Amino acid sequence: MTFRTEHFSHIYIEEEIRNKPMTAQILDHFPRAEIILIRQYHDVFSRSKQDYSVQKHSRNLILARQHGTLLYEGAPVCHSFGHEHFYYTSPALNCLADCEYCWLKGMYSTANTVIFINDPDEYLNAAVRISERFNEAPVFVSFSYETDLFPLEPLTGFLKHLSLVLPFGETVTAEVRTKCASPEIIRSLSRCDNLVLAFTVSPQEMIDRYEHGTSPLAQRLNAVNTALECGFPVRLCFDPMILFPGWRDAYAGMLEKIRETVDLFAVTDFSIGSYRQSDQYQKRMRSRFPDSAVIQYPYEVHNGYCMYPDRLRDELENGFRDMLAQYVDPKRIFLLKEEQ
Amino acid sequence: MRYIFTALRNEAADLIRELHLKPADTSLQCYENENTVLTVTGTGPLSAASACAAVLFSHHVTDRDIVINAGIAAAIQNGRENELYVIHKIHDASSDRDYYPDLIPAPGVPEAELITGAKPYRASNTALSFKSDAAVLYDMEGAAVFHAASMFLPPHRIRLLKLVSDFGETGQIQFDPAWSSMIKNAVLQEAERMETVPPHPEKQVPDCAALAQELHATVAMKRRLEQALRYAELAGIDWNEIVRQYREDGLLPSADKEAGKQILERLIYDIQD
Repeated sequence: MTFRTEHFSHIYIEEEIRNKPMTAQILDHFPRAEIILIRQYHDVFSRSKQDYSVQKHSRNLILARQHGTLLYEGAPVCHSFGHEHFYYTSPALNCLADCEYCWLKGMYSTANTVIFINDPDEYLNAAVRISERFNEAPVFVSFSYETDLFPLEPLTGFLKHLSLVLPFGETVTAEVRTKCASPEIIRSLSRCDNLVLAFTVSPQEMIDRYEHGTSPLAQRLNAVNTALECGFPVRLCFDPMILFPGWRDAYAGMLEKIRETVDLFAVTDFSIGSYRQSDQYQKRMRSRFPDSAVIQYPYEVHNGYCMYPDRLRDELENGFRDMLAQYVDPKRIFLLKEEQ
Repeated sequence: MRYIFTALRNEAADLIRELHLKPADTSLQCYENENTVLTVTGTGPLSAASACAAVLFSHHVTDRDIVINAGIAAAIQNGRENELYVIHKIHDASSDRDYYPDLIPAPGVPEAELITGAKPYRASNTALSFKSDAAVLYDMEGAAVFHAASMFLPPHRIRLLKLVSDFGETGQIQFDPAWSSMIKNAVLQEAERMETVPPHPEKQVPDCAALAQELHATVAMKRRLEQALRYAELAGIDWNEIVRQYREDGLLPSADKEAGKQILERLIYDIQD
């Protein structure tokens, strides 16, 4: 697998991992990059006054090692899919795509990407320890909380490694979510029952408007089919749902396309959630992205989160749920509002 | 505006000549024209930081401006004499702090790390250990200018350009007049490249004063109205048409603030319907 190398002209490497095999493996993809040794990734990643809009045209890569806590409890505004013990982890920070609504743009002030040179085993062991603490209770871990791991896979091989070790953590269910449609990557993974491949599915109109640098809907659906053929549990995520002119027809049209392309009975489950964002991040994003419609929408604030007004939110989420429920068992549809 | 800082008058000589810079009426050694302010700071980090901060503060810089610190430096690892480097990492030896400018990749322009110290570098009596194979240079101003400029500007608007003049083996440097020309060329080229990066877009606030009045809007309502109209304009929605219809239907002007609030929420629904 090859990696598109228009980015990463500069690669910052924490001194302590400069001689790790995975570091060398990643650097092999960038023979012309300037290598800059750093003490810790925050020195570059968290600099003040960085400009995402400028950096996104020439992203830089930071290689670092994650210490201390590897898993964190999931946020209440995220789907837990019925799991009592819901955690997330971040083998990488930031994403190569440029989705205008992404909360990472409110949390971080940079377009640069951090890849942590930690083995997937370390994350799995941390999840197993949590499960043991709760008498072997099932633990759900989202691995794509702060990144999309698929576009990084040609560099890291993280997902392949994860798919090989996950069968040893029977009580752990891992979810990797993506907007990247790469059948090649999916086929490279080792099939396992506790690795859920979750695909964010959006109307093509929304992809064109707001999900820059991601795969088109048709390709995502092909990837969904590849994942099903390979025998992975597959999740379709209609999340976030966004309002834009013509949204009703666009969402209905998307569902038609999905029905035509994908065997919905084979899909494990579905998640539905409309846009929500921490009020604090929303404020930052409004000032950073003054010309983004999705960011400038007049959201209402409920309990510190920006959301669509109730009526529109209901129309979006319940309306789509009702449409979807005509074709699949409603028990397999997870609506964020009902989970909270 | 371009803000250029050099430690020595010699380093700036060709820039002053080429750009027809005139001495500014200030206690600092500044030269300027309509789009450039060049400051000769004097040597050492204290002089450099204080001059840089004073100039940038007094000129009310914005993120449309750029700062370039240019001058000679000693090469202490893998640097080539008379070669000019763009600095990608700056280490302040006094505070042990590192700085990282955001560079625009430019094929063929060599890059280096820079160490800034408060005393001149002497290869014979300064023990420094290096962890990378990069070219490493030493000067007495770079970190100071970067630190001061960072208070005003983002890291992609600050650039350090350093020309290798020596290897720290002697006490006195004989300034080669060719260096001034090399510095001039590099500064002008880099400034042009930096200015190709568009400034951060400014927030466009729709004119909604009349509509706010018709809604009897409070300050909070007016803010929400502005937000709604800004969204509509960005999403390509003709809110004027909706408002015109409200007026035709007698919804506007509203009877009072409470009625205005309801119409505002309806407008937010209608612009998306």
